[in-house]
Amino acid sequence: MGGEALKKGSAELLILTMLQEESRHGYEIGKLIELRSEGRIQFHISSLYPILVRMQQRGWISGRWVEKPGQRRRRYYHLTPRGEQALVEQRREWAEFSLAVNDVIGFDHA
Amino acid sequence: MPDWTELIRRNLPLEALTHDRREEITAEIANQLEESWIEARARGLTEAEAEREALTRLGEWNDLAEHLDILEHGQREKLAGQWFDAGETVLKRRGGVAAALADLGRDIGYSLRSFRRSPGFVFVAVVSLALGIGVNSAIFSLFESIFLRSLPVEAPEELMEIYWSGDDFTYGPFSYPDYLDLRRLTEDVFSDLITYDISIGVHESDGHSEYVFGEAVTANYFSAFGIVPALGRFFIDGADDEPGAEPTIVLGHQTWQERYGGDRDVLGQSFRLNGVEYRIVGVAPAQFTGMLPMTSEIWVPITHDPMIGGGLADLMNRETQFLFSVKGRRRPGVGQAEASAVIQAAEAAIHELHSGDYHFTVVAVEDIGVHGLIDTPVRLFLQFLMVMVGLALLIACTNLAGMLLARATARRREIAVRLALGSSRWRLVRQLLAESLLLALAGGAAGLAVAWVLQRALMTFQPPLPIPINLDLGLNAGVVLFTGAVAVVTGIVFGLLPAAQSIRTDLVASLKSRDSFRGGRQRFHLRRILVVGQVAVSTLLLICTGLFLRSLASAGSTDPGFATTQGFTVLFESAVKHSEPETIRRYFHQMRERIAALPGVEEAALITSLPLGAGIANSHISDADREEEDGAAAEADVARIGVNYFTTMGIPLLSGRSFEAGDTEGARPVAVINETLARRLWADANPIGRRLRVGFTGETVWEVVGVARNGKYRTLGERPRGFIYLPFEQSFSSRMSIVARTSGPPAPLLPLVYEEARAVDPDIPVFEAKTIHEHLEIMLFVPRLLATLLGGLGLLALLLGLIGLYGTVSFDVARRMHEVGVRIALGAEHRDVLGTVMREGLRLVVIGLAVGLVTAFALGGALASLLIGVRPSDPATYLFITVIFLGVGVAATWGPARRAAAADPVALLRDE
Repeated sequence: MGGEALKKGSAELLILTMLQEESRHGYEIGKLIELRSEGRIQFHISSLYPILVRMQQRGWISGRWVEKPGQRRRRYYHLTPRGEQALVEQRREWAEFSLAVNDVIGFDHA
Repeated sequence: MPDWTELIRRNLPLEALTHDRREEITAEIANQLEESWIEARARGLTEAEAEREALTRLGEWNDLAEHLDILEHGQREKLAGQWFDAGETVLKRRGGVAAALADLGRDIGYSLRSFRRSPGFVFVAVVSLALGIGVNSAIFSLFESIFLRSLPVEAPEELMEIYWSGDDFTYGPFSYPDYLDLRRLTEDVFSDLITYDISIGVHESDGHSEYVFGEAVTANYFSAFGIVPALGRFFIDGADDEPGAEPTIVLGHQTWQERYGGDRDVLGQSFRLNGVEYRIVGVAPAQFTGMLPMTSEIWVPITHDPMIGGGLADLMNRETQFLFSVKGRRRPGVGQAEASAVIQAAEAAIHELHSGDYHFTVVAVEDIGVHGLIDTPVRLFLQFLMVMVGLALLIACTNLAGMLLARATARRREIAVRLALGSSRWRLVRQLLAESLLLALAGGAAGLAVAWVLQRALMTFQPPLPIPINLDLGLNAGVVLFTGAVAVVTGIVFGLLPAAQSIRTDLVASLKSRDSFRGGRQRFHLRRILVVGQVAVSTLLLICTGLFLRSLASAGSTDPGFATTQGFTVLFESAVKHSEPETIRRYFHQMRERIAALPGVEEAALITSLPLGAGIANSHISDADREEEDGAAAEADVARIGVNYFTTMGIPLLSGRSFEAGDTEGARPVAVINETLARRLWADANPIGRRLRVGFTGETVWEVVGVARNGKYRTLGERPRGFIYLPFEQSFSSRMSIVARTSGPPAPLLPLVYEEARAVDPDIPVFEAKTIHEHLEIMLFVPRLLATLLGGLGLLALLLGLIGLYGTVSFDVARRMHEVGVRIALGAEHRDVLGTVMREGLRLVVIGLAVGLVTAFALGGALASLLIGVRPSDPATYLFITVIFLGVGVAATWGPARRAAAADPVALLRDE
């Protein structure tokens, strides 16, 4: 599987993307990334949770406790306007980066 | 379902956070674990399997704690920053101090939190530093109490001391007539010129006699020091010191308290000293204990000195009574140079009255430590000790630096994360410095406790002398200040090095992997240099220790020059009662006969003072039949002895005869000299029948009748010294010892000696009585003190060195476990792994050892004068220390090496 650094570097982008659709709780975010990557990207709670804390500190996401009838009390996160802006930037950077990497790899293979 | 909240509380240290934040984090993580568990159960897993899966999903508790700690801490830092950035003008003006204080508080808080996570590290660091700093504080307090504490007198900087010096001696007191001349000639520059001498008298009260120690002083003594009496008055110039005046006495504060219970009615009472009634006129203040390195119990006017048996006539003898120390207070506006110039002029005048190539030395009293006589060796001794304890501290500091480096390496990722999160490098350095400073200050505080214990131990090391030495050690402001300064410097210097290293981190490499080689290599290089340095310094210290232990052993087995070791010696001062030579001789003969007649005493003889103790006199000896220019003169120690001294002490005569009953006062004066003096005066020629003079102005011509075998006279380590024996019958001394050879253990006889002394004359009590074994112990005092002090330091150095080496090797092994795993997986034998690891560790030891041995060899010469019977390059010591250090090296590397060799390669590689 891909390098630890790549995974870490892309974690914020992945989380921002997950929250773009709707607000989710922490476990759901991790599980969803795992499912959508068909199990190729997995985060431990010990890694993911601090990233959530950090993103809150930066003001990209915001969390609040929600208690729905018949459900357990959970903390749901949603994107803030700054987070949406960060998502746009990170997507662009990722696209440029992967393009550049592909170019290099493509050249190598030629 | 497991109690997740409880599980998290147990595994996640969040004490540093606020209660609310802690609860919030715990709740959310518990929530996630619960989701995972419920989901797993829904998939049909058992409760236990579901719990296992939830915990696998959690990952490492430590990672979580570390990340949260950094994030939460960073957050507060940022908040504080915003607050100050947004600050109003008022805040901005005070911002410098306020912000610095807030930063400092945060740094300290963070350090304390990180210490809580590694108590072992903190313990070892603080204990090493406490020992290192403690020994320094203790030795410093010794130095401070002797050389840095100013006299409790008015304006001590105005006081000067004057004494005689020559090529062969550093300190010579004055005779009283010399002092009177000097006082008259220097009146223009000194408002007061005083003189004083130790005075020992027998005090009688309630029917028993005991010695009191004090000073005989000129009447202007107290006024010159500007001291105010605690009670009554001091001596009046021109009244109390008049020869015919009523004898008066001033009591020391301690004497007043102990003997009179601080009774104010003591004034006017009588104090009986040597049979004379002295009237008590005053009491000295508590802080003033006199000018001698002991606590004076009494002061008497010099003209009524109980020691000067012959009264004023003796006191006025310019040639024989060189007893008096001289100090003066400069007049206002008179500088040291001016005073010195006037004294040099006076010297020229006074010198004419004496022969010999001597001159006056003038020093500021503030520069005097104990006494001009012994200051130089005492200062050298203390400086040597300070160098030694400094080395011990250096070892402790290298340990600290090494441990901080290891810790910095282990925290590489934390530091990298914090740098990535935007902490400035300066901020991190400050943080790391705060840690090392906190450690050093804790070490300093604990060091004070160590110093206190060592001070108590030092004060029990009273030299075995009959006079109590005044040594007052304590944790005063100076010592505390010194300790604090040492701690702060230690913390900064030895913390800066690892701190500077750790922020030069390769961010990407550190973040990327759990254990990168690249980040650690350079730091590890530095750690190795530290270990090599540490082993080198420990070796140096241990070589010194070894030499002094050997010196002690050698001193204990040195031949003192006499065969008799089973016996005792008793000292009497007859001047407390008699002054006539005939009476004194009669008294001592009677005393000797009584002691010789005691059961168990085989033989007893008179001698001024048994060699290898205090009180050996030195004199200038010259050939009476040749000019001195021909080199026919030498220095020699002098003893006056009774006829059977040589047989009593078992000293063989090599030629000629001993003294006989016929060598009396009217007969031809005769002398016995030792081999060394014979060779110095007459080389290989036969000395028997030759004639010599004793002293520069000696009138008497002595004929050599015998040559005695060489012995040790002043110290066990001395080079051969010249020695001359004169018959007690033909010379004279009021202070004599009686030595006795006994057939059995001598100690039980000593009480009988006291009884005999009372029977012969109750007014002359025994001054000092001890067995010969105890007497020789005095000579072992300094070697034993040195061996004990350095032995302790050596052990400390060895222990600290062991800790440092073990730490480094363990750390090295832990760092390279992956490599070890690969090697074992590739088929390396356990033995190979063991060998490789130990070789690495031992290589450091051998390099350090070599550096230490070479340094010790190069510097060893400086110790020569302190060693007895051992050369500074003593091969046995060097070999022994080498073996010890190799042993320590093996001990320190064995454990980590075995751990490495026993490692399971599969587990190691899986961890990666």
